[in-house]
Amino acid sequence: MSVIFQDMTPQQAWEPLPDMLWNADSAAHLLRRIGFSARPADIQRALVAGPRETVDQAFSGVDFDVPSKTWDAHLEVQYLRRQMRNKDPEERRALQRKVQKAIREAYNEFAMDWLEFARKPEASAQEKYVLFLESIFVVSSNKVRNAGMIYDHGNLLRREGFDSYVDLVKSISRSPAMIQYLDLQQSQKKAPNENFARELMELFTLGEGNYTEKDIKEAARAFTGYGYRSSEHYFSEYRFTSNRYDSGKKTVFGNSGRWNGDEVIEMVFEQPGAKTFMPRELCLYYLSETPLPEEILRPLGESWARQDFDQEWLLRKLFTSRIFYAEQFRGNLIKSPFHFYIGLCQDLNLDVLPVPTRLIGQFRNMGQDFQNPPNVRGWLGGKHWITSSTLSARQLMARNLLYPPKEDRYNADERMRLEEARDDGKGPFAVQPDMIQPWLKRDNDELVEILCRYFLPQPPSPSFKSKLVAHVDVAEKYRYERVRQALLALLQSPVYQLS
Amino acid sequence: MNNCHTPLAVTRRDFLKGSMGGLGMVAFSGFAPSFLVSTAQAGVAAPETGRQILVLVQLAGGNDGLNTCIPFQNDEYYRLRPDLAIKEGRRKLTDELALHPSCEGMERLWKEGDLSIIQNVGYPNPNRSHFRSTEIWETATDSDVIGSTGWIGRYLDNNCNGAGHSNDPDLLHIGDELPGHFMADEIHSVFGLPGRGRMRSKSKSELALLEELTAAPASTESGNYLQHMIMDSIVTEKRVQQIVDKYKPQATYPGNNLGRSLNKIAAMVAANMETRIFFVSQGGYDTHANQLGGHASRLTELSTALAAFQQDLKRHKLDDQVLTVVFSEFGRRPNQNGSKGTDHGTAAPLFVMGGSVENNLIGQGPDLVNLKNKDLQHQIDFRQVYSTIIQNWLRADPKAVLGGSFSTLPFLRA
Repeated sequence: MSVIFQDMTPQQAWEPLPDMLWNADSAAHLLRRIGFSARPADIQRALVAGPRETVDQAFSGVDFDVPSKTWDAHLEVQYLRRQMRNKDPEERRALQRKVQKAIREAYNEFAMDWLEFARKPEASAQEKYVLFLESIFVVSSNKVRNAGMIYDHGNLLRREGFDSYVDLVKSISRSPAMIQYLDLQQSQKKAPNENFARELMELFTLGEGNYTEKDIKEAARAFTGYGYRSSEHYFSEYRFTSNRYDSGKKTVFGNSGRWNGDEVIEMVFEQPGAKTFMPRELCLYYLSETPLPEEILRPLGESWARQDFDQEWLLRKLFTSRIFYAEQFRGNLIKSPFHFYIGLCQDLNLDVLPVPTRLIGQFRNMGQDFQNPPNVRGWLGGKHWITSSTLSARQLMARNLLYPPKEDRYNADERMRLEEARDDGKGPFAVQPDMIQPWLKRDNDELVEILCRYFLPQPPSPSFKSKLVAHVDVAEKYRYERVRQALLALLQSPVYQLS
Repeated sequence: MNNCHTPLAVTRRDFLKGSMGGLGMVAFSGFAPSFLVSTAQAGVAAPETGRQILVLVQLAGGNDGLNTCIPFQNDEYYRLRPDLAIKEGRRKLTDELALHPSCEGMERLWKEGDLSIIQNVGYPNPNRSHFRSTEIWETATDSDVIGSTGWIGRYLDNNCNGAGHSNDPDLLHIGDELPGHFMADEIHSVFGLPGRGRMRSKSKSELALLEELTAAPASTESGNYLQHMIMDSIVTEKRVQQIVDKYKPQATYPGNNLGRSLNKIAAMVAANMETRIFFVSQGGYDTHANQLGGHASRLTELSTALAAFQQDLKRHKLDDQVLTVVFSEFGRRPNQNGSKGTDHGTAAPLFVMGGSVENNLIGQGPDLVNLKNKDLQHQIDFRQVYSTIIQNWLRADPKAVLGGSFSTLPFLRA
């Protein structure tokens, strides 16, 4: 199944959106898709700035600093591992448990720092794009037991994700986390490992049907000798071992030569499939879970190839094109769990709950464990986000923001995290009465109208609104509580899960 | 393609009539969950018979096969495990094989012909990482191939018409996380039941409003899908809770998590739910240190829970409809380590339980002399077990699911 467009030719699809079609609804659509939310003030700013300027601002480039506690945990792991030398098995096991604990903590602290960073409006679009790239260049914390290596990997995407896609793929082949994830460090002349070569073609650049098994076998030989070592400046760094490298002649896509890894990647991008692969993936992520027809993607892919596969160009093209704003795409994409949560924080003006033990597990329950996709294909997204369990977890997440668990149930560590965060001026972490009180001045219809316009990507049906109106139509003294319930139901409703 | 689902259970219809308060309106809102439509079309349907239900029980952490199925005549066993070898209270099954003293229930199952032990199950080039080996069992690939869908997921992709045709979930797991076995290319209806306690109770007015908002017409395709899924999960949640609450088990289940989970599954099977495949996991098998006590407790939980489940099904005359498969991502090393425990190993025995099981013992006992990297060499590929289940129990083509041919094993009555 693919999407049918009656009102646009493939060429017209990628032309800039005509000015007359730029309005509050299209601005909100852009903001929800490029980032995680569209608050009234942001919509106003975007309306004035126009789509191009809004896209440029969204991708202005923000650094994500090394999570300091992750670095501390990394040093602790190194220290513990040194301690383990020459110890008897009993002691080693005790130390190994400490190592595992430190690794878990490093991940949790990484997750906390990242959530706070991605929640910043100026970083949101960039981080949503990094999530996209991470879903192409998949690594996972289950396999890569080093949070720092995954941080480095993400930072590589952040740093090089806006330049040539060819160069990005070359860098990815040297990313220690990727080398570890796809067992590239075990790949040597005597026994080349095909995992990386396969994912390079199937999942990074071409897609199935655009290469042969022989291409993979031969290409795998070009990526022998790749490995990594520990580093002073990064968590680890690329290392090439020439005596493990197969320098012989390889035949890839019919071309024979003593190709190295980079040369294989360049040949990959000479394949016609490479032109549309990334545009297709990008549209699946940002525009529609149903693939766009090939005849629409082809002209975009051709232009992109002529731009030397420049990613920034592609992003700008997508977000300013007519097709991006087509009516049939509005409010028809299911938010990822991270989109859902960060969007909630932005919509409700909340800071990220600074208590990892209370927060991180909720993402696993919603189906998006931090930096831990289930397999090489990454998050499948869209309808795959939704199961009965993940829905319950989403409902609970929203509930925790409106009816937070009592803090006296927190343990001492958790209370300390809260105190520290409050001392740093962070908060609130849950909806406070002052968010709800101003709405109470409005009459029921107005109030519901405001809530729907503020939170929902599309105006809901009249019956949806009338149910809300009926719910808040109570005596004054019950109204605050009823409005809070209405807000919760709104955030748990199908339409708030959409963007 | 065939539809996996057989006609509606009567209970569903009664249930909808009796207790769905907030849902009555759904039918009038322009959107009706498929089960409402199909209920109307199906009229009164007979309860199902001759179903093939599969219950997967994962022993997470890597179960120590040698101390579960003990090769008690083998001198090597005692040499490799001076502190860990089980010398007393063993439950002798054959001249060479005994079960762990904790496995009283499993011994009974064996004697009654309801339990089959498949020895030395594993796969070539074993991986000793929990994560990776679990993934290999889930995806059913060769150990050097990284798969992205689970074997159960592929079975459904190949043999069902997709989500939305059934009243009940296609797959049900107990616990919060979706098991990798269920990962699929297509969307199937999957339900997760909390491992502990009842389902989270929401305040009545809160849930009622969410139901009403969910019932309002959606304007997009994804909105429609979400609407369906939210409503369906609200309905299923209530339905399952009611089934579980009302159920009168005909056996005494142990008070552990696994026992509670199998009790719930028995309730759902007895209520004629259309769900065909259930998954439940029991943790705690990663016995690196001082394993004797902990392992004995795990096996007591397992054995008592399995025995109660089978007895319960038997008394409900449902034991012919349910096949339970008990497996672990790997076994443990033959030799004990320095902490009176065992480290990650390779091949291990696998258990199959049900009224349709035949041949108590399949495969050779472990060869403790010809070790490879100080570890057992597998004799039966786990995909032979899968292949047998797919072909002879689920009645589908194993080749399409497993991507290759694996000879079947004689553990099911024809």
